[in-house]
Amino acid sequence: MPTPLPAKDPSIRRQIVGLLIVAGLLMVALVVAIATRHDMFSKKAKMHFVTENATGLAPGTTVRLSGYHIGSVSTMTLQPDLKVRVTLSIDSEPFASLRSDASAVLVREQLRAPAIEIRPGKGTAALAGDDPLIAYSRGNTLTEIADDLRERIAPILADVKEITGTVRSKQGEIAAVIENAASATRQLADTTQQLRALAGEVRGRVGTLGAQTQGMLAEANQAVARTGQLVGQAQKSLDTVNTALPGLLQKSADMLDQLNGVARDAKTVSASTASSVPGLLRSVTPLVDDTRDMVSGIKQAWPVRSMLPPPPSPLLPIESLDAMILRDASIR
Amino acid sequence: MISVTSRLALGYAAMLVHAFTRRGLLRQDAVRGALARQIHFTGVQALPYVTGVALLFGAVVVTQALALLGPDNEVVLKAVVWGGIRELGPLVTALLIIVRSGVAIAAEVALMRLRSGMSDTLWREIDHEEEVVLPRVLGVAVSAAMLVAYFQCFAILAALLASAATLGTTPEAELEHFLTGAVWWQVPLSVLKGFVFGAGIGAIACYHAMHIADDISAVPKAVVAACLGSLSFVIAADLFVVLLFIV
Repeated sequence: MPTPLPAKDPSIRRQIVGLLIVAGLLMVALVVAIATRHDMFSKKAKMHFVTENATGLAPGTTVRLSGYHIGSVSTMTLQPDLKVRVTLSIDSEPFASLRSDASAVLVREQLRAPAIEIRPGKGTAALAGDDPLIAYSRGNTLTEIADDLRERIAPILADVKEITGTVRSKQGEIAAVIENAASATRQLADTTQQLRALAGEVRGRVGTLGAQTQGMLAEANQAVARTGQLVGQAQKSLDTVNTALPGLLQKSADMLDQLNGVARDAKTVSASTASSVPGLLRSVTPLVDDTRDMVSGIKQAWPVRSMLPPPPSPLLPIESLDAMILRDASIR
Repeated sequence: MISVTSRLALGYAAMLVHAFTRRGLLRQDAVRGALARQIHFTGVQALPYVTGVALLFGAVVVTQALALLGPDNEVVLKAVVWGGIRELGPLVTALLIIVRSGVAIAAEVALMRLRSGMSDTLWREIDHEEEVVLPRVLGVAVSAAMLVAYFQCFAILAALLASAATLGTTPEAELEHFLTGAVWWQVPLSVLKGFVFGAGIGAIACYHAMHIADDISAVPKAVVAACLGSLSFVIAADLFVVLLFIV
């Protein structure tokens, strides 16, 4: 007879069922998390690029846009021309914003898994939906950047080394140069001291000049004040003149009127005498001659002649043919 | 050597087929009770050990990988993802089951057979035999699958924490990197591997235990044979899976 098996233990069964359920949930959660991370539950769009070297790429590699996770590498296929066609599966929403010149760059940062960074492009046309081919390039890692930097710096360091060697070989000359520089520095210090003294002297003179200038300015101010007073007096005079001027002008006008009247009278008189004056003037000449003869006679008469100084000896005429000299006896 | 190996392989396969064809016995309460007890002994009671080993495993893998490979997070995470989930997780779990439950099953069944005093022919013909094999094969398989699931979770948790502590990053960032590097089907595949490993261990233990001579001195030999056979099976099956992915 077979040995009967012991009955089932309900507590054992509950433990088993509970642990199995927890294990199942953990596995489902893990699968869902991985699938979600790989965007298996969202609407996807496909695009691809072709590269000669797919190093660093693998299915599942993250695809980012502006640093944000939008998808992953779905497939990689080696083509007959030995190039690798890499297909990216990204969200359909950012795909719509990609332009025809969009590109992908492999970004490899230290301590982080490589990722593909999508650059959306600036073209006017959108990325073709039937053949969404984009360009691809590889970004440099820190190691590559360091290598590049080392290659650039190495020649510079060699030059520096050469320069230091040259300096070491010409140490004597450099010492002389340094000594000259020290001497020049000392002289410069002396010059500086002299300049400082000069500056002090200039400062004193400027101070004196300033004081003098201040005095002059004070005097100028006084002169200006006096000028102001004179101007005030002139103003007063002008006011007086302005006050008296109308009366003077009126008087001048009256005097001019009177002069006009006198002129008119003179004109009338001259007009009336114009006819008698020529005759009168013609009779004046004989009268004057007669008067002169009389005066001459008187002068030559005794005792008048003794009372008068003897007449000066007549001068010889300069020109005998001059009629004026012949007529004017005083000239003779 | 080849003939012995072939005979053992055929015997193991026959035991598995035998258990599969007798699956109808699960309708019996006695068989379901035996199945529950086997899962309890192999799965539930082994869970603390598996948890401890998984935590140490995850932390050690990350720290050793960082020490050997440098601070290359990508390589370390790949080691955790591929080694911890698909390969080493089921393998380490299977080893734990072998050293803990496989030898126990072999010794138990061998002693049961000796104490029953029945011949091989009689043993195979009665229902009792079927009640012995089916619960153990299925129980170890289910327990192994469950332990693999827990092993993965704890190993990944420890690896992420150790990686974040070593590199000075946050566990969230490490989790993101891990999820990026993982593939979803690796998870059910590893659980399936655990199930297959467990079923094989149970079948091999039962096979060697049921084919011992009628002598108490044959029990240790059966236990050793069950242990070595299980180890060989697990390694061969794992190699087979690896070759499947390589090819």
